[in-house]
Amino acid sequence: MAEPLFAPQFFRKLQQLKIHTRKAYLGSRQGIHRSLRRGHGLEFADYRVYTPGDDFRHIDWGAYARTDRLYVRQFREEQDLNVIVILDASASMAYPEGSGKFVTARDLALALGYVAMSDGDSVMFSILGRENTPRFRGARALSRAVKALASVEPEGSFNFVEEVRAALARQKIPGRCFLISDFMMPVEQTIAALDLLRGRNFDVSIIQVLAPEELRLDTANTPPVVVDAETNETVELALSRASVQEYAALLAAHIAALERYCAKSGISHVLVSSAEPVQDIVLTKFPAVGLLK
Amino acid sequence: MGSLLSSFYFAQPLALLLAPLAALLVLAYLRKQSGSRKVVASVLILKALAKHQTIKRRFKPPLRFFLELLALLLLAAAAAAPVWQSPGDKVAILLDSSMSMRALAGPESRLSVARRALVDWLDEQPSENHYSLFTSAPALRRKGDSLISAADLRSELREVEAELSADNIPLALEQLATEERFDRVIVVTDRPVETVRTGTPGADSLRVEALPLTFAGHNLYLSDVAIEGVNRGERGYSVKVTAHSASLAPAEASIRLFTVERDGSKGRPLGDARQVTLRPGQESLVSFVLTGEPDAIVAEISGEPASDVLLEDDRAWAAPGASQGIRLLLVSDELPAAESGIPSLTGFEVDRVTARDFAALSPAEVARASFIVFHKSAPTVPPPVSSLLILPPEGNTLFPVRSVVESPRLTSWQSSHPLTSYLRVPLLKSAAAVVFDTPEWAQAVVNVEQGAILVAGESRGYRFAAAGIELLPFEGQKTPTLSVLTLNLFRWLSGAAELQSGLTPGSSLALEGEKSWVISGPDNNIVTLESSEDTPTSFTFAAPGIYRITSVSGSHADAMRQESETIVVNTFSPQESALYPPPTLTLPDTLPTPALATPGASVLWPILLRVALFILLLDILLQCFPVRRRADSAGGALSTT
Repeated sequence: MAEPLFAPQFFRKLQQLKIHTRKAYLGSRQGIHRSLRRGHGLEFADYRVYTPGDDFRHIDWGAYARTDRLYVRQFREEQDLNVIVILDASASMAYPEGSGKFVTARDLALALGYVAMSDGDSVMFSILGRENTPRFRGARALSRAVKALASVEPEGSFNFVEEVRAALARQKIPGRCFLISDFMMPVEQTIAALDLLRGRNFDVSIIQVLAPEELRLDTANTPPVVVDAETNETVELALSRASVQEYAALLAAHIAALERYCAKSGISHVLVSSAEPVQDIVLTKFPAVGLLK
Repeated sequence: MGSLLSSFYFAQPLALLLAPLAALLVLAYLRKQSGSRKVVASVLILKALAKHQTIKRRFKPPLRFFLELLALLLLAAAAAAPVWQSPGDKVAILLDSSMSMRALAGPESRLSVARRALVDWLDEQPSENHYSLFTSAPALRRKGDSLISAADLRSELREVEAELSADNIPLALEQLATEERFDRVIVVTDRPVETVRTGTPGADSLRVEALPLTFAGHNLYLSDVAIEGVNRGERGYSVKVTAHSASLAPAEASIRLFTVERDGSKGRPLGDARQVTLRPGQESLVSFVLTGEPDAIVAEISGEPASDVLLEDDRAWAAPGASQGIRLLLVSDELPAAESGIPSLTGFEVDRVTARDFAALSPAEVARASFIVFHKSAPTVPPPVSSLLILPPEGNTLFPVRSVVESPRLTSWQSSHPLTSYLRVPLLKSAAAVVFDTPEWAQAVVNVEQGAILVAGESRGYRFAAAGIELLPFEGQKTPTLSVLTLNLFRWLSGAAELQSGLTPGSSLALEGEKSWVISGPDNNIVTLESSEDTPTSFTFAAPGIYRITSVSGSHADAMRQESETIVVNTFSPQESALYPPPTLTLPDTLPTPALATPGASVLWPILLRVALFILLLDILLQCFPVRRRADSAGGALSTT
């Protein structure tokens, strides 16, 4: 990238954000997120009967006064979060030409990755159709992350579900997962991919990025024949003024189907336009829907 | 509507076959439309949309198609050369506006009578006709716009005034025939017209008709006044007045002399009036002997009103010191002066000598001539006077003869040379011509295929010209083109002297050199003019009378030079004054015209071409800056959870 990815003010604001997760995960290192491990963290988790050798400072004397029995307090260990950002880099993300859809998706991925990295979490970027990046940790790793994503160009077509499966294959530890795509595929494919992620106990959020030309049908600039960027399937159209409303209804139905599944499955769904500034999306929209806090 | 359509036609109808090219444009856009496709991210939604539609191949071209179609059709129409031909005849009205039209015909002037007759004639003409009005004096001139309606013509007629000069209707007709294309020309004149059948009918000829007008009237007029014997001192001087009566019977007339005031008005009488009896067809010379210092005078003739219907020629002015005329020396072995036709030109004094006698003249005698005309002769050495050589013999050293050609064909001429002023060169016709080798100091003015037949130039301060066609005898209106050439030659040879005593109202005087001019004329009119070497100017004598012309040259006080001269302008014109018997005007019934565009036709292709080019420019702009609709940034399908 020739220009700085984000403005310095945006970086400072990103540092104030945290990845929000609804679940607790075992991390590999001490971090700021609650983990399933009980240890020496600050958050009280439970009681257990005193056994010789336990730290007597943790004896709960109030419980002894009530029960005449010695109990020690147990605390949850705060550990780092395993974040994976899955980015769709198929050919469909390159269209409409000049819409900047993939750039928006990539920048959102990097912004989320930076939030995680600056919080001490580890982030891995999984580019569907490509190799996964190494794990990045710490704010200073952003430049390496940017360098890893800079050369990615959206191209090719692949089986979405299989690629998600392959991305998860090297993931031993579940965590937070952000899946960024246009999701302009049969809902069943998306659901199958999300099921894979849920099955691996990831806290999933999907970010659907669409171009303005996809959100609203432009009959003037849509010729009679259109070709699918990935499947090369051609469709003949006879567009009219009524086609705009028909298209809007069909798109809304498609998105609604996705939203219904996400709501039922505890998955966050965010729809953004590539025309929206990335800063506005990350600083306003993501916190509003609970992706960040 | 039918007549409207019948007046419209295509000069090149075959070009309309270009119009079906529009079908190619439609095919091109159909092909472009069907082949037009676009890659989209996913056809998921669009495929669902297409299921609800009945796909029909409709031709929905963009705006550019319509612009290009319109431009193509306009270009095809322009190539077909559409012409809007307004119906009716294109008629030229040539109205005699010479001095004779001022003569009275009862209570009104002849011009008024002619005007009324013309209006009556107009009422009988088809309403579709279009007219152009021309006047004949002092030269052919259009009045108002071209091809106007009868109503507009009536308005223009009211503005026509008769001039104080003569006209040349045959020359005017020739000019009309070559300059513009009309179906007919109606000549309106007070002279009886004899139409001669020329036998050249056809599409490329102009029909000539005369409006039948008959006028009667007698006229008393003066044709000359001269002051003589100015050097007699106390013995006085004489004034000779030449008077005429154009009448059926002898007429009694009174001739009187008057002084001329400083403001040009008539002053006190000089001596007593002289009673004369003027016989028809004869000129009468009346002499007055006056005492004292000679000064400008005006002579006046008067008689019975019935014997004098034209008053504008009843006065004549003279002034001492004004040029007595152009002295022309004619050198010819076979043509006497009287038969040369030159004496008929007012202001010329012609002396004729044979070639042998010329050789015996002294340089001083030769220098007394304003210019010399060598007719079929040539000097052995260039004379110290401007000269014209007409048909010089081979072997002359001034203008070497290259050859003599039969039926010469004109090829080129200098249209801006003084010798071709008002000259319709294509009408110069001669059975044979002498072709010259143009000297280095001269220019070829008129050329035929074999070379120059009219050459002119200046050498050692004098002007010389050679004409390879016969110009004499000077026949005036009988040979209008040759006459114009002859007068141009005489005018050019006489140089700045011009025709100073032969000037009539309407004549112009060339003002040349770096000078300031002050011209005071009749009625105390004073005009100041500036002339320069690069931009000479001229002054037109509008009224008869005495003009005093003063020129000042030089810019420094000690180098300034002032020259003054007196010029007399009179209305001497036998053609206009000799009302009885009126001179017959002989006109051809048709005149050939060059193949010009049909008059009154509006050629439409330039308009169509301009519109087509404008539309193509719009098309190019649309291609460079296509009109795009702005896509909405977040449509109705955008929602968040």
